Amino acid sequence: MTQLVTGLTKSATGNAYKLYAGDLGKTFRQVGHGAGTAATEVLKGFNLAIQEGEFVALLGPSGCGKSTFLNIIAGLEDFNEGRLLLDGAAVRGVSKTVGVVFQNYALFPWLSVQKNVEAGLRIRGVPARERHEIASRVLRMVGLEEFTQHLPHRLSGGMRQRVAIARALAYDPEVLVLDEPFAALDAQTREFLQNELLRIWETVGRKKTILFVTHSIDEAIFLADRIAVMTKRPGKIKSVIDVNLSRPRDDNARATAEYGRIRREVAAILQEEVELGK
Amino acid sequence: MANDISLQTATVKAMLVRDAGGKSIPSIQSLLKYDKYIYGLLGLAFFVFLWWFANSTGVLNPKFLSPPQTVLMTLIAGVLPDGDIWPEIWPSLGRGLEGFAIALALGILGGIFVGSFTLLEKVLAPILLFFRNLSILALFPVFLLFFGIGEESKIAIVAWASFWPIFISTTSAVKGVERILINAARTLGAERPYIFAHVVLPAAVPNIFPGIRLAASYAFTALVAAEYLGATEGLGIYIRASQERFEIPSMYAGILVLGLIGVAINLVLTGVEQRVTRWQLGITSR
Repeated sequence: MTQLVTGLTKSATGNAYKLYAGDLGKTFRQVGHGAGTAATEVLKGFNLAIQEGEFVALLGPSGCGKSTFLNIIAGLEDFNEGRLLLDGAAVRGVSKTVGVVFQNYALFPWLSVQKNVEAGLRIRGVPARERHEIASRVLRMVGLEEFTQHLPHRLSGGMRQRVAIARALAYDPEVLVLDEPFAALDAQTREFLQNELLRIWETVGRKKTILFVTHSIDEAIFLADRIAVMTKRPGKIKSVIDVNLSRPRDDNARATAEYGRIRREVAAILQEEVELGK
Repeated sequence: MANDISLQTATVKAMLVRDAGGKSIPSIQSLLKYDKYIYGLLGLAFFVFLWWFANSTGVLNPKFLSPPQTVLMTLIAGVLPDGDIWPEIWPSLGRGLEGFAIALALGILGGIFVGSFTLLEKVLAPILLFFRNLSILALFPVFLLFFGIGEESKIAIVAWASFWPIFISTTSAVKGVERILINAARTLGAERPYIFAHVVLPAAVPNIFPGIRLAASYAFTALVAAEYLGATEGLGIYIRASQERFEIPSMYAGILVLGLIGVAINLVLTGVEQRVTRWQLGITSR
């Protein structure tokens, strides 16, 4: 239950957190037929602090607002209360140091794999030759160097998601947020990509800060340094669990006693929330 | 003519039979590839035959319907560089293409703009609904008032007529662009102008094209009507003048040229469409 921050914006070491959400609140005003002026509170008193280079999994029952929080970090949605700091500075709108990977890939279907990965660099005005080099390097890193000229829909789901990860990594963001990126994939591909994600994360020179939204307990334990479990709506962090599994992790990590212990603990917390929701 | 058809059918059958014999496998493929054209030619031949038949038997008054061979000869003589149709083609084609190009630019820009801003669309909805359903013929006097009897009014009429299908299809195509693609571009750091040009437009293009093709046919319909109103040169006025002089084969030759221009433009547009929407192969049933 470490660092369930309420008021502090600095970590124990005195450095500003990479990402800090304090008392964040978000209310959707519903417009549309029959909705009247009803408002839905999605997040309320949401506190989360993430340190530089940390891998945090955000876990919660469906509809708890985890994707909403991710969208707020990505700058796609606004919030009503509290504050959100990135490197100690307030975040409003899209931040160019955050990379986002969506569940359904969101690749541009008319662009080749190569051009998709180059998109973020192109937007930043990187010259053609340089962005070609960078994109080629990142595509090699995710193991897709042979598919650079393919259109996304010619690839399998797992490959598409690797392209999406490559696209988010190409412009070297400091924070990477992933919204249930492997949820639509079959079990084998999912485990393969979990390993791949860890390998990529560990090979990149300076470790990126990762926020990984998922509804799978196993995925959260296997990947993360810490697991933040959310309550049902209006969502806030219910507890944060440390995952003390050694790195680099491989499939053996899934068979350790520690893994089983964490799994039971997280499952119990989630179970509570699901039952409260009934 | 009738003999031609049976001859053609016989040739096709003969080719099929030979292929069924398994001697030349590639030609089965090549024949299947061209089946669309073979059937099309059959249909065309049948149409020409009916035309000829109706004329020679007098089912339709031969004074009003010239036989196909006469029309064809008039057409060929007419479109030669010293023929009488040749000098009429460019003025019409120029006006048509100019008006169409204006409509294309305004329709796509306006469509993206209106389709992207819900509020704007709501504000403009009643006005747009009024104009898009208004007969272009009713507006002719207005165009004549503003642009005079010269080229400008004709180009403006063509532009107006072809603007609407492009504008309407663009507006709805833009609204149909997947939100997630726009969000992805935003998270990559893209600003509005980039998103319009590099996300909204390419994503919408496949659904804009039906409007563009419709607009091309509207353009030439409106053009001919505009030329009937008053022009010194152009295919529309040529067709009308031929009828007034009772040079019926010339009238049909003019109609044929106009129709062929329409077919050519449609072919060009289809080619462009296939090029720019090639990425959709395998996603949709195109």
